[in-house]
Amino acid sequence: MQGGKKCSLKHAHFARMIFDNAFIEKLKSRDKKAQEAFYQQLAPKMYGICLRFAGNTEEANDILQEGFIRVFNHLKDFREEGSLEGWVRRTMINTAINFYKKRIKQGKKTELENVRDKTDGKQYIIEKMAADELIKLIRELPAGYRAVFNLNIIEGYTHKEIGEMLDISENTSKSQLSRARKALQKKLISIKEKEKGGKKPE
Amino acid sequence: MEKNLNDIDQLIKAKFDDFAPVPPEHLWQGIEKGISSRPAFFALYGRQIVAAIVLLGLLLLGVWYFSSRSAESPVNKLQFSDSVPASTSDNPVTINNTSETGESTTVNNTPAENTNITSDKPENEFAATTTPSEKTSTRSAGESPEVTKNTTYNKTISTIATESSKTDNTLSLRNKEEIFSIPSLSLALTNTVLPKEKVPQNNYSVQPLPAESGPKVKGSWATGLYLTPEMYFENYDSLKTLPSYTLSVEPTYYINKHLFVRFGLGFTYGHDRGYTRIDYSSKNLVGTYEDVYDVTFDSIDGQLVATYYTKTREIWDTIDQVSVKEPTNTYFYIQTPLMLGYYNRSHNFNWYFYGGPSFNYMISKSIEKPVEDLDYIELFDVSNHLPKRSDYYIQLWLGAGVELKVSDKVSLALEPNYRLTLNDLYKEQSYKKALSGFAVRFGVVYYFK
Repeated sequence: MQGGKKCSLKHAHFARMIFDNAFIEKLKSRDKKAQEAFYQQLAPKMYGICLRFAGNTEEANDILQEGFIRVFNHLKDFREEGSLEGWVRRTMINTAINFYKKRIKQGKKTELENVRDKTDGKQYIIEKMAADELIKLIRELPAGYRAVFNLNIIEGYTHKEIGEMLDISENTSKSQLSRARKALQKKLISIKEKEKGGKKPE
Repeated sequence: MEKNLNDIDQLIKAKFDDFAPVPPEHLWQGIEKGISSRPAFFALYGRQIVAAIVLLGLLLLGVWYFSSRSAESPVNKLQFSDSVPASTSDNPVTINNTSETGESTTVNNTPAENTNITSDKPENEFAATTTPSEKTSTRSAGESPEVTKNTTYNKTISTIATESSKTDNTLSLRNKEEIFSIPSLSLALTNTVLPKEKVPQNNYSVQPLPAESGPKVKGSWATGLYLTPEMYFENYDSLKTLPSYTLSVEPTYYINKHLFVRFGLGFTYGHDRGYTRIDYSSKNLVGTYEDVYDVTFDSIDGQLVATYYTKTREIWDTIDQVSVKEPTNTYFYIQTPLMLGYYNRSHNFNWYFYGGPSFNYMISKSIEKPVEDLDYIELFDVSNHLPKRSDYYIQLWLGAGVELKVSDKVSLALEPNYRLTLNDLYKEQSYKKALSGFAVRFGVVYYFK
């Protein structure tokens, strides 16, 4: 498994579980064992999402906790039209977006303006990088760029959907993605230069 | 270039396909706490429970109301009759509660039982009967000749007591030794009808009821002027639903001694405040230069000298900006509540509770513009992204109140009040949820006698 630690046996056991209707009913009736099994099954994947959206590990932990609390408290809203995992994933992303909005509320948005679009590197070392290294880079992006980048590139939401989710215009979403890409390129080039032992680019 | 970017996107996406790091173990404990902090049953069915309680309350009120109406039917009229023979007893007053089916219940007319209602004068013998088919006052042989048949006197005993005291004729409802004081029977007697001619001629006395504030008779009206601050329990991540204030006039109609209907008209001021993102571009002055618009050449001492005529030019650049503002949106509503309630009178203060719907229609709103127009700023996308409220909303109120009597006609009211919004207060999808709130109503109530 890339990225974090390897799954424990406990997690491997839960990985074989299937979320059938009987299990979902148990979850809805707040069966403790079912809840824990469900958490152990999905937490690693969801934690990956949280790490991508969060600015740091502590925030990722908070998103995961709050996300799962929402999942368990609102499971009655799950209509069983799609997959349960997909529903949990969307809930987790919405929780992450709420954290992003809170960051805006707290005035941590000024960092957006500090990034300049100067990179023109065309060599990438992404293939060589592990996912958790890539996450470190994504985390260094300003919160707005990071949110749009995650939602569009990894989660596959359209700019229109992102605009509605983040309360921004479609064009703003596009421009933020463009800036996020460039900022990420800049960081990748910087890493490459370091590996070569060359000077850090301006 | 586009292809290159897509390749990078795909590469990054692929990196995260199987990315599933194990979260710290202590997180599950926090989640367990978070789940158990909400009572599961109430979290699932809270709204339905509140609605069920309100409906049940209204149903009980309705049942109580209709049962009290049937208790006021003319079946229980009390009439005096001289058809009872004088020899039946020394204490011959008898109360017959006869149902429409013809069954009758005689309280007593024998001296051996202490629940008798007796007159002080044995020669005045009355039989109080309530048989519907025989609502007549007839004179027994040899007794008082001045009795008119088919005559009823539609006043309660308490009223009679007042009148009789004026004429020094007192009506005494007592057993052999003591003043008659069985509450249930005295309540029944307040609804009885007596023949007019009998009352002043005999020495009866009745304990007068204590004076009470509030509405005296059924079918009376009152009106109240209320000021109501209202707070909401729930809030959103980036939006605060601030307290609203309502000034209302609410007439109340008292159906009977205990039940009332209240309606009215109020004006509500509500406002929301929240953080929202503003995108705009600003035109900034980045520098100046001298623009040569003319050159002349002169020959001075054989030298060619150029003279430059310039104008100072300013250089402006447009910079995209993002900022966060905290605008406030205000709304005005007309409020029309319709409440059914139960009212209880006491000497100095009354208490009551009520429930019912309240309809709120928006009549005006003010959406704050989050950025001021400035000469050096070119604005775009400056719309206020705060969620807007719906054009109307319906609330279910559940309230209780106490009234402190100031004078015979005026009382001060204090009413704590729970409110559940039945439809969505906001138009935006992500803000749609049931809101509940708490209000305290301060009012002045005037009773029309």
